[in-house]
Amino acid sequence: MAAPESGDGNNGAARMVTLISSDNTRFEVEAAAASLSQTLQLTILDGGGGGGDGIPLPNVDSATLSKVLEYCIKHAPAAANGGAPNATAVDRAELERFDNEFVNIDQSVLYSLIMAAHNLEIEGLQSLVAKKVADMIKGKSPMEIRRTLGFPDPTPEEQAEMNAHMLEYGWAYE
Amino acid sequence: MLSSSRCHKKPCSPVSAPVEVRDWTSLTHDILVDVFQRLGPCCEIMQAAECMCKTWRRAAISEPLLWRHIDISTVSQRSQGQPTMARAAVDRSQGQCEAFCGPVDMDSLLYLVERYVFLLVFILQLCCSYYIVNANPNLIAYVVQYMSIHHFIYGLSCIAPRLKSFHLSANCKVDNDIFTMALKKLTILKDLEISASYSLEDLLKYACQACPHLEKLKVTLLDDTVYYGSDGSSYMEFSDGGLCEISTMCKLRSLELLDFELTMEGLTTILDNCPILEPLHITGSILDIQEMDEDLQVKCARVRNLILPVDDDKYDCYLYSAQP
Repeated sequence: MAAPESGDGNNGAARMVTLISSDNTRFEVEAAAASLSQTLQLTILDGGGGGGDGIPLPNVDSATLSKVLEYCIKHAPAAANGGAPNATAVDRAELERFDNEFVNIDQSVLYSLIMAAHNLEIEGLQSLVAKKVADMIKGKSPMEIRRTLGFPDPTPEEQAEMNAHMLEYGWAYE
Repeated sequence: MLSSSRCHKKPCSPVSAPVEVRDWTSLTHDILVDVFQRLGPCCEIMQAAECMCKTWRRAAISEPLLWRHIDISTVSQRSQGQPTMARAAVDRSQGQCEAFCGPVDMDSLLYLVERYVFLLVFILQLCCSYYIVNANPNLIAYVVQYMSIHHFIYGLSCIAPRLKSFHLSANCKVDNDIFTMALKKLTILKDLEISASYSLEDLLKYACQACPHLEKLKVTLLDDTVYYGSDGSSYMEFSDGGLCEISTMCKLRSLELLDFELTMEGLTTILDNCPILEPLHITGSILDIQEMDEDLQVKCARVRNLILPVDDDKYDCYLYSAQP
């Protein structure tokens, strides 16, 4: 076994895997962190992603992947403890603080994250971003949601269809 | 606390990624459902999310999962869309509705009859196919003609065969026969909450009979329980809802009777027939002002969280608390 890059004394060297983003940036990360992704887990278990090979992720760009891996690295230790039933309150509070900070981001980054989280099937991240998007929508009118999320302007047909929908049920824009 | 692992960016042939259009209208069904599920009361979906675009609307309307717990209680009763929302939400659940919470009044139901008769007929046909044995051939015509809260309840119980939780808030007198008939369809109901200004008659007795799996029961009687006789005279009617005749409720954990007229006999029956009650909250008044005997006091002490009405005009309640 190769020596650990910097000693953390955690069962010797942690196995590393390489992930390649859609724009060809290589990320080397602990297998345990990358395995938070259900999509990658099997490949990694089969020994993929090590050595000179990397696992290509054609749907995730480097900026998004770097953000995703930041989440995975932070959450991997707790996930390794089986959801950390014996985690201290301090650890849990720290993760919660991290999560809150983590999603305090621009809506366009949030969009990329939600797509990547589902693409890579990272359960905790999926919930986290879905909750953030829901919080951004809650209590807002359609117009406000449009502004908040940076929705594209509706085409005339879409607008007509929406108007018909609202007229039919007569509940929006009270 | 972090391990040694670090992201090593090794840019090789860096390609500047084209600025991707973040098109929120292209989110997949699964992602949208995941987000919508976290919005809380379903009016958030109906009044905003599904108005955004075709993709969002399709996800909202076609996913029964989103309509398992229908809560339109925050929607103003004066809102024109309110009755439609109730109806549409129940329809969208495709028979998977497990909880319905929302205000219902006669006006909104009349509105429903005038504007959405088609839908009503559809629902009644549906209910006849579910309960073909009990189907009354005259029911459809009758209901369309005399649509009322009773039929709304009955219709609801028919199209939501898996209903586990039902909260009803009615501002009009509910006919107990109809309500009991509806309850008989809701045999797996676990949580029943009724807020109404009407005579209980034997409602509690029938609810317990019809829904033996009830875990939570809450009945709130609104203030003005004054009734009008056929000659126009008003009278106050005493009713304990058949409390003294309730059957054994092995699963009932939480019982709340608010603004209730309690008798000592009724209290004894509750304590004898509901062995696992944890919170028992009764407010209102105690009718037969008499000393609680020692036997009853011992029974009361077994309930961990007990609130009983005082037997005078004070609003305070006696609080009993058993030793853990």
